[in-house]
Amino acid sequence: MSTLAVMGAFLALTVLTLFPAIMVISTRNVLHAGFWLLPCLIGVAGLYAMLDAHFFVVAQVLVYIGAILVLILFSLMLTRDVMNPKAPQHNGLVGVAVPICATMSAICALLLARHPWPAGPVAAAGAQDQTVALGRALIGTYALPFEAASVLLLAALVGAIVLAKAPQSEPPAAERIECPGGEK
Amino acid sequence: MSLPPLRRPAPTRTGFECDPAFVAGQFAAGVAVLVAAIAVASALPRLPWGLVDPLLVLIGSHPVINALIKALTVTVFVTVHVIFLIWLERKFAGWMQARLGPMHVGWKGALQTIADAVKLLMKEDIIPTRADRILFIAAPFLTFMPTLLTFMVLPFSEKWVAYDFPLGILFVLAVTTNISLGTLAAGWGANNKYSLLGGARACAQVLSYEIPMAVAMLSVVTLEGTMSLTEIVKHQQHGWNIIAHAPVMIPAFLIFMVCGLAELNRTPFDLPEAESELVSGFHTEYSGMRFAFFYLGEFAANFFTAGLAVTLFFGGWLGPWLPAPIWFGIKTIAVVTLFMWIKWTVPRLRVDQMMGFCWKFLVPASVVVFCATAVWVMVAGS
Repeated sequence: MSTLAVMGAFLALTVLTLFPAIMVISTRNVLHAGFWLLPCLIGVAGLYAMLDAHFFVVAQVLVYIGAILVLILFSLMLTRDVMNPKAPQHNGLVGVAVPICATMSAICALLLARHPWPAGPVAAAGAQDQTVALGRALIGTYALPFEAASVLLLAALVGAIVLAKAPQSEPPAAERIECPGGEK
Repeated sequence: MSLPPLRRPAPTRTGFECDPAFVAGQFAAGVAVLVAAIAVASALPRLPWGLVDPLLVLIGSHPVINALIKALTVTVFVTVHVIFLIWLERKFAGWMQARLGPMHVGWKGALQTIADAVKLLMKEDIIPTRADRILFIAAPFLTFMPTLLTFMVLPFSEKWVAYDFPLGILFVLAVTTNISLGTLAAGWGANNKYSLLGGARACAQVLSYEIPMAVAMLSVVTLEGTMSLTEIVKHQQHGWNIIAHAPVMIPAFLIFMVCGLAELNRTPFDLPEAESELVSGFHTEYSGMRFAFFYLGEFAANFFTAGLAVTLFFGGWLGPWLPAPIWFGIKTIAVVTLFMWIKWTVPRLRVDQMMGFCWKFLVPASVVVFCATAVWVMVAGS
């Protein structure tokens, strides 16, 4: 592909990623925010595709869109007050969150600026070779972090079951049905 | 006073009683169609395709035009073959229930689906006032797009594959999960309690059954050592997987079939769209062409799942003396018919049975089959 085509594709994908990302945080409908994540994550998958990282394209779609996004939407549907357009978009911790986010962004920007980027294009390995190499790395070099992540997920799974199976205590006042004429 | 004796009414003819001439005529017609099909199929490779080739090379050499042509071909195929599949389903249902099915439009009702499609196109497009407009409009496309994408990697023959992706199986898994996004959008967007219940059920069902299906497919990957769908078929040159590796592949195929039925929302797993309890679930509020898109996606997914089963277990396009795509078509339609057979035979599961069966039986069973495949590969390899 010519440089112009590559630039065009990159710009298109950047817009596809950033515009929905802005919509995610600015829309007042939480469920729409969830659905705006879909084009955003597809855009990221497209950026991976431009880098010839086939496995990451598929993993992005499988894990982020197929599992995490669906889970987010599913839990949103079980959440109260989803459709309330007057719900506040931030909570009381906004004063703490802004400096933390600003610091993290500054650190990221600094690291990216200092990274020794390659000057020219780098030839990527074929999809099959990449996947084989990744598989070997996961069960060889990086076996310990990989297994630690698995244990973490297992702990989360068991924790979720324990929480869900806990005997139902007295429902908090907010969940009681309010009768207009007072409680009978 | 005495009542006249009860008399049995004279039997009426339905055409289904064994009239030997009728049956013989049907049989002869069937054989004639089959012979004609085989004759046409075997003549196809002898046609002067060489004359077309330079033109194809000229068009196909440009990457963008090439991609567009492939995308267009896949889209047209997906849309058109569903017309045939719906007719087949209705005829099959009729046969299973001892009735005729569509008979009036075209030969044996062959054009009925086209008439239905035209009717759906002309219907009023209704969007409920209280619906979430954007999600309501987007949902049919969100459901249909993933199915369309899966056809990009389905190999009809060694050459007839739009994109021979080296990670084909992973791609299929990744893309098919996204169908549940569309059903969620439809369930929520319609602002209807039955739709919401249906959407939530569909999502939970697809997510749960995805896991044993993935592990069953992983067994095939372990056996063949590749995730490319064309490579998997080529490796079956000396015997289909399900025959050559029967002890591990038959259980894997059974798990794959059950999960496939669940992913397709077909009976006995049609809980998301149960007519009698949820008034068709997530597409209750849809009408006209938007409704047709759900149907299109569903039937196309049917063909795709059958095609995937053929690719993984039944040697894909491989077969003697007929052209490869024809073999692929014959095998796939056979599996589609198996889906239909199951659909019109068994009743629907209850929602807790559906979940329990997946998590308590299918998931452990698929892991056992996967481990057995690993042992089988080690034994066969040494």
